[in-house]
Amino acid sequence: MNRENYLLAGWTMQRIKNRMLKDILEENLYINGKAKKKPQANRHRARFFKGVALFVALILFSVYKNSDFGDFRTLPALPLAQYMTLPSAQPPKVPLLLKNEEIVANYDEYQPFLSQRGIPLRSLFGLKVRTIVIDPGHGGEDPGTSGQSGTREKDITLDIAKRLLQRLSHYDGYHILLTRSEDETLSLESRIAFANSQNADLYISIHVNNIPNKPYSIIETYYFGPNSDRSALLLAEKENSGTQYTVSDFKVMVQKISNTLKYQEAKVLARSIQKSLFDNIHRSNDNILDYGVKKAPFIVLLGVDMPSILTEVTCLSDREEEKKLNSEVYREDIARYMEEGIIQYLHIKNNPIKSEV
Amino acid sequence: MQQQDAQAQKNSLFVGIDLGTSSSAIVDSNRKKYWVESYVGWPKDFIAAKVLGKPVLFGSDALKNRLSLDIFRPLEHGVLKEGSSKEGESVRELIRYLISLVKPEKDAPIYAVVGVPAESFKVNKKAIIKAVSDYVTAVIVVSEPFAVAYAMDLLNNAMIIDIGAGTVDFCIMHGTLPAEEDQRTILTAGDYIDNQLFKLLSEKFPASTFNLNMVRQFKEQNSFVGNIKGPIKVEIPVTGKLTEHDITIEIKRACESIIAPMVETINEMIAKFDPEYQSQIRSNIVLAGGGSQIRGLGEALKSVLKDFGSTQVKKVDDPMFAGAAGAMKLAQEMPKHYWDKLNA
Repeated sequence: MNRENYLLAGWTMQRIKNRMLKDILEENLYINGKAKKKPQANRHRARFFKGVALFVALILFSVYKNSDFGDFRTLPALPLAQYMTLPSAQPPKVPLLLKNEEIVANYDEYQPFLSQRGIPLRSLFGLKVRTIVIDPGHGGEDPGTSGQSGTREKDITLDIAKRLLQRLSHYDGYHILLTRSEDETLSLESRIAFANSQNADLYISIHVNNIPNKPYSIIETYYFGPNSDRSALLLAEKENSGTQYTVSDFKVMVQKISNTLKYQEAKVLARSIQKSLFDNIHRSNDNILDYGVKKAPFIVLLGVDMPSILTEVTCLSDREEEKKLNSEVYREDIARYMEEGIIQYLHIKNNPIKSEV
Repeated sequence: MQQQDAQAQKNSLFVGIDLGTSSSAIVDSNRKKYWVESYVGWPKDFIAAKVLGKPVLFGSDALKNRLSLDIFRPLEHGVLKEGSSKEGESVRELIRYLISLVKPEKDAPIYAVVGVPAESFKVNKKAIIKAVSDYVTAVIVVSEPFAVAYAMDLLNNAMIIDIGAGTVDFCIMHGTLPAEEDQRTILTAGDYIDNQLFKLLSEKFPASTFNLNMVRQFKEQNSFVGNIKGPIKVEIPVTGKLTEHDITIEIKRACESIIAPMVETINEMIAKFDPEYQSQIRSNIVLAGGGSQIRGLGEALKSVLKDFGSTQVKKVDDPMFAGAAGAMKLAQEMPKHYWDKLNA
C-alpha cells in the first residue's frame, strides 16, 4: 500500500470510529433514559432493505393483478390502506408502500363491502385503530393445556396479556382492554360480546400450544377461515369447546362475513405478529419451528366484528419452553415481540409517539 | 478541547470489563489485566464465615469452597437474572472485585466500558449499568463481539463470533455501530457442550462418579472437533478407585454439537446482508471467547461453510482478554465531553 492509500485507509477508519463513538454515546444515553429516541439503524443497510421491500411489494402487486385468490381474498394480502384510493378520499394517514399512481383497484369490488353494517370501516381502511381487545385464553375452571411441571396455559396467557396491555398503553391514542384481568371462567360468547360492545378495532387472543411427543416447539397464528388441515381443525375444536352457539347462530355468523374484508386485515395482523414472535424467539431457541399463519374456524375469531387473530405463542409440551415461560423475563419478551408485531401492523413503528421508553 | 481531553485522560483510569458467564476480565489503561471465574459466594452461616475468614469469595476461591457457600453465577445464560436480589448483588460484588484488582488511585475518576452479550435486552444493559455505576465515574455498555472487533480494528465487513459459556454471540461489522439485526445470540455454547458431555459420559460409564464441574475441566483441557492424534484419557473414580477412561469420542461429539447451530446462524445472518458484501464478510470471520480455543473449530467451520462460498475463519490471539482490551480501547478513545454527557 502506498503512502496516500495508507493515509486514506487511516482517515476512513478514523471517520468510522468517530461515527461509532457517537452512536455508542447515543445508544447509552437512550439506555439510561437520557435520550428519548433510539439511535437509527445503519442507513446503508436500511436503504438496501427499503429497496428489497419495494421490489417485493411490486412483485406481490403484479401477482395480485394476474391471479385469482379464491373465495376469501378479493384483495391481495397487504394492508388495505395501500390499495384504497377512492376518488374523493383524503390522503391516507398511514404511510404507503406504493405510490398512489402505482395503485390500480376496481372500486366496484368494494361496493358490497362498503354497504355492510356493524363493521368498523375505519379499521378496515387502515385509517385508525382506537380500541384493541386482548384476550388471554382460557381461565378459571378452564386451565387450558399444561406443561409437565404443572405450568398452566391460563396463567401464562393472562400474564402475557397484562404485560402486552402495559406495553401498548405507552402509545398515545389507543384504548387497550383485556377480556379478563384475573383468573376467572369466561365463555367464548362473553369474550365476543365484550369485544363487540366495546366497538373494538382489533381483537388478539393469546394461547399456548401443546404438541405432545414432539421434540420441538412451534409458533403459529390463526385468523378465521376454512381449513382442510386436520391438525388446525382439531385445535379449533379444542379451543371452541364450551360454546353455547347453535347451528343457526353459526350460519348467521358465517353469512355475516361473506362480503366483508375484515379477514384481509386479520391476515396481515396475523402475519406481522407471527413474524415478530418467530424471528425473535428463534434467535435464542433453534428448536422452535415457524408454523406460520393459518386459517381455522375458531368461534372466537368468527364472532367478533373486528379483525381478529389467535396466536399460539409457544408450546408448553416442550420442557425447556415451559421452564423459560416460568421466568418473568421470557414472558415480558413474548409480550414485547407481540407489541412489535402489532405496532408494525399499525405502521407506526418509526413514529416517535411512545410516551415512555 | 483536545488539551483538556489529554489532561483529563492523564488523571483518569480507563477500564474495559468483559462480563462473562464463565469468566470475567478487566484491562486498564495502565496495562494491568486480570480475569476471574464468574462465581460469587457468601458463607452459608457464621461457622463457614469464621472458617473461610472472608465475607465474600470470588472465582476459583468460591468454587473450591462451594460447599460452605451460597454460590452465584450471576450471568448465567449471558443475562442478569431477575427474581433474586442476590443476583444483582453478586454482579455488583463481582464488579467491585474486578475494579479492586487494578488498584485504582484514590479519587481518580474511573471510566468504564463493559461488554455485555450481543442481544442483551435493554433491561439487562440497564441493570448492568446500575451495578457498575456504584464503583465508577461513568459507564458505557457495548456488545461483547463489538468490543472484540474494536480491539482488532475489524470494523468493516467482518463477522465476530464470541463463543462464551452461556452464549455464542454473532455480530456483523459493517462500518457502523451494529444494529439489533446485525447481532444474534444462541445458547448452544460452552455450558451446552458441558451438558452434552456429561450426558454422553453418564451413558458410557454408568458406574463412574463425576460431576459437571469435573466434566467442564475435561472439556477445557481436551476440547476438539475433527480429528486428533492419540486418545484422550482422564482419571475418574469408579467405586472410589481412580480409573482411566477413554473419552475421545464423547469429547468430539459434545464439541461438534455446537457446529450445526453456528453454521446455520452464520449463513442466515450473511444471507440477510447486502449481497455485494456477503463474500467479504464470509472471508473475514473471527472467533473469540473461550470456545474459540476448541481445537479444529475454525477449520471445521471453514470446511462446512465452503459449500456456500470461499470462507476464511481465524481466531483472536488472546481470547481471555480480547473483549476487555477492546472495551478499554474504546473507553480511552471516547471523547471526554461524551463521558460528561453521560454523567450530566
